[in-house]
Amino acid sequence: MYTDEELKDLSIRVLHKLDQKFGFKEAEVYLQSLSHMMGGTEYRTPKVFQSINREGCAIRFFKDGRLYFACFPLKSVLSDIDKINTIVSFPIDSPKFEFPEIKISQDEIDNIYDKRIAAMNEEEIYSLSYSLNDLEDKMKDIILDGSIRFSLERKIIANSTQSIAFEKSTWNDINLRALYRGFDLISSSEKHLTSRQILSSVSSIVEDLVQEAIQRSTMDENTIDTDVPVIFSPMALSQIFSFTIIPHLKLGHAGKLAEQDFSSDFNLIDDGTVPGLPNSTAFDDEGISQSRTIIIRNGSFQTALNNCQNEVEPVERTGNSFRVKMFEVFPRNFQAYPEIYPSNLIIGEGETSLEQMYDDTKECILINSTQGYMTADHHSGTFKVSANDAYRIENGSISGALPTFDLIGNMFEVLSEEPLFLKDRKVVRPINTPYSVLAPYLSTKRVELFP
Amino acid sequence: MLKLCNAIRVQFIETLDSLIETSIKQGTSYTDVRHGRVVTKNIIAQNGKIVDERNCINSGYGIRMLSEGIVTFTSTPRIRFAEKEIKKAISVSKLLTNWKKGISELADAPVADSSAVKKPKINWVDLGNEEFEEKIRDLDSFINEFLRVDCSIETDIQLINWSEKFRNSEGTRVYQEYPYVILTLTGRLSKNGNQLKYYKSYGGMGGLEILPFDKMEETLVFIETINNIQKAKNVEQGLHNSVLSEDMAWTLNHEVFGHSLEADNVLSGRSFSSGLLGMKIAPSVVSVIDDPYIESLGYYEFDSEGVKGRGNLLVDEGILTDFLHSRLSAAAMGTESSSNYRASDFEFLPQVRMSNFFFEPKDYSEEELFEHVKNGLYIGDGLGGSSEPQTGEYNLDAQFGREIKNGELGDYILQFQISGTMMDTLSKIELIGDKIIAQPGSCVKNNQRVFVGSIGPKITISEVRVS
Repeated sequence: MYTDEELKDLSIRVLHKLDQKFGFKEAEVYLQSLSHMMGGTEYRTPKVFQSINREGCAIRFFKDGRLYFACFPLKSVLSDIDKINTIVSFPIDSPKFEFPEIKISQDEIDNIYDKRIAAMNEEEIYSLSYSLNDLEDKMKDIILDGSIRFSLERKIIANSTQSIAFEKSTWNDINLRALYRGFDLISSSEKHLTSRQILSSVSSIVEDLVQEAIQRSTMDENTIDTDVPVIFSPMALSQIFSFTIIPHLKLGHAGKLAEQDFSSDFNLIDDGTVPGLPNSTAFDDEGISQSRTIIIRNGSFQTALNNCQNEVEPVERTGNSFRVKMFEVFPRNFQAYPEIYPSNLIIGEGETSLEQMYDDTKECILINSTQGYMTADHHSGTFKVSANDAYRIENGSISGALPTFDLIGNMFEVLSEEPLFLKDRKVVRPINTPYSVLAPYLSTKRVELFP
Repeated sequence: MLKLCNAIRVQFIETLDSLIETSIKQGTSYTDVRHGRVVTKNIIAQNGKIVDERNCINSGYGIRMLSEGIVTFTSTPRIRFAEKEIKKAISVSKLLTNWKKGISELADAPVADSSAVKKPKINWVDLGNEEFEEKIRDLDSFINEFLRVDCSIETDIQLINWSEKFRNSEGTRVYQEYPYVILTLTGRLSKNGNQLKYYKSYGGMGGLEILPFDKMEETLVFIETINNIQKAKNVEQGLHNSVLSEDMAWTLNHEVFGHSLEADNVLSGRSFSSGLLGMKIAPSVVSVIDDPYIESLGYYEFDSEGVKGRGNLLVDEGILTDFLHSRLSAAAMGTESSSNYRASDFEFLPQVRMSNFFFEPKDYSEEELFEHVKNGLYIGDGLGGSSEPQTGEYNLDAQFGREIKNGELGDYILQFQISGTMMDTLSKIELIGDKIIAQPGSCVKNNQRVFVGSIGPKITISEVRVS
């Protein structure tokens, strides 16, 4: 792969060529160099070991005041752009905007780069695999599948303000699945963990996962009482939240949030600066410094997320422009056009703990995960999902797993009508989303159950 | 010029061969190399005016190796880096064998030396900007001529030229080149302050000639639906005897049933169809086929490990007869590859995937299907959804529906959801229509998206759970 200095040099050469050869005085060059190493086990055999490398370049430029976009492999970008005038045909309908001046002093953030991951040592993958599978030897009815991915991303943004931003960051993703052959049925439980550093130990996580799989193998045969409160886990809440509320967080799309009379307990922040959260980074994919943006405070809408292209009038920049290709294992991709996405969303917690909630409630239903949430209607906030991982809680403890049932509600109502945000929170990333959510458990009576 | 092209081609082949040689010399028992190039252009128009265009060129190498019974894969944009990655992969195999013995092997496959090139009649690369703008404007004018509601129309056009060279250490050499075009129309309108949306896609493998620019009447069904969804009613929750549109029948079949027949899912305990081979799983009217030779987005002549494509009968009159296989899964299950090992491009490890997966059409006309249901629900085009492959549980959304009254289509119904378990649903299929249609489809598996054909006839299912 290119060295850091070669990447920086190449970005300047591309920018220079756009200027000198074509006269594109206002241009932006985005370079991505990405390496993944993936391995693990599946059904007690080694998974296919993969090392995937990507090097690409995206350019945006104004020509006669109109905006154009194209991307190329890094190895051939200097020759490919010779044909730029025949490759691009139509401009993007966009108000004229300035590529931002990048503040070099802010291009570092703590804890997003781990030298051991950057060195891409395959032995680390297998030592983690060993620890994932330890329990298999102790429990004969358990199969543990583990998939480990190390990622190193280097990104560079250079633009015609003659400034350049460079960042190296690492990720360690672990996907775990426990299969358990129980008395009633074969059950499974899955977890996805993302960290910017190599996880030092996964044994406690594996033990929790195994307990969940065992728990799911004992069915609760009693009829579901549809009048009891429902508790959404952080993952279940984030799944539905992502497809009902998040589309309204962008500048120009937030009108609905401003109209809502949310509960004063509802607080929502986007923060790309918290060390340790998965999507913290020094600057977004246009070179704007990441920031902490209060979106909802005590139920009232405050600020929408923005990027350079979508600023209709001067607003404080939130640094939320990301190049995201959905349905990919690592969704950040130079081929995608920069759009507004959250970085790390933080939903405010309450004061009551989950344990206390269980103790204080005679009966309730805990929903750990749902399916069908991706087609929730964000215009109205309505969702129809199936709770495929849910439990009855009776007298302070889990009495058993419930068969899959349907659930209908409206997320605007749930967040407005006496939501009880609990104290316990987790960082999750729902499938097909590029951001993380630090979400609490949420108890509500504003959903209808259809067993 | 021709000499220069031939010289470049020869040099290129030598490069691929040298990568295989490097790998084999270091002790791998099998190696294959794919070199791909994908050129895409995406154009979006709003109400006939082009507002967005994105261009992308991508190329590089994907290399798969088998050593000590362990499979490794590396992808890289540059040849220099490929050699280094091969060495790393081989050292991983050695590391792994000290821990768990590798058991992977490949089922035998015939050696192929072939090329499959499909050329478009009208290549988008050759079309001038003004002609393009005119085509989009004319299509928009046609739609507006028939629209009776206030509605904005988005036209999203994806133009793709895909090519890949494949070589393996057994001597197989395949070159494939396919053009794909997809045009998606989306209508947006409001009802009581809420936005309603309906979309429909056209196209497949070919050039601009297969898009509805010169056969605009193909969009009349889209226009009719848009004209009616504003006054559509809410669905009545409960169980409905139903006719499923071609698109919804395909969505159900592909998403819920098809993925359960992929042998890698079966082998890793992620399939409810595991253990059902040879068993009666559906009424005799149901037969299911996967066939890459239908000229749609799922078309290919060789899969991503150089195995010649073939049609596969997976369910024969209700009996599950086969799974979809790669050479790896076929070896593990003692059978042969069904040519279903596919990757979107060189960057990704292929997976066992469907091509054009569909219910075999039977003898029932559309009128007979509606007459059979008599009073029930017509379930329109699919919107997406999710399923749990281990249990066959699913939730799928329909973009719209229509009442069926006395065997005739009635009032329109707003977007709704169907849910159930596939084994139960399969048992309730009653009739299958006599016509299949092919539309563009896509499939996401393990975070990798590939094009497939959305193909199939209308079907009837009793007691579909609707909410």
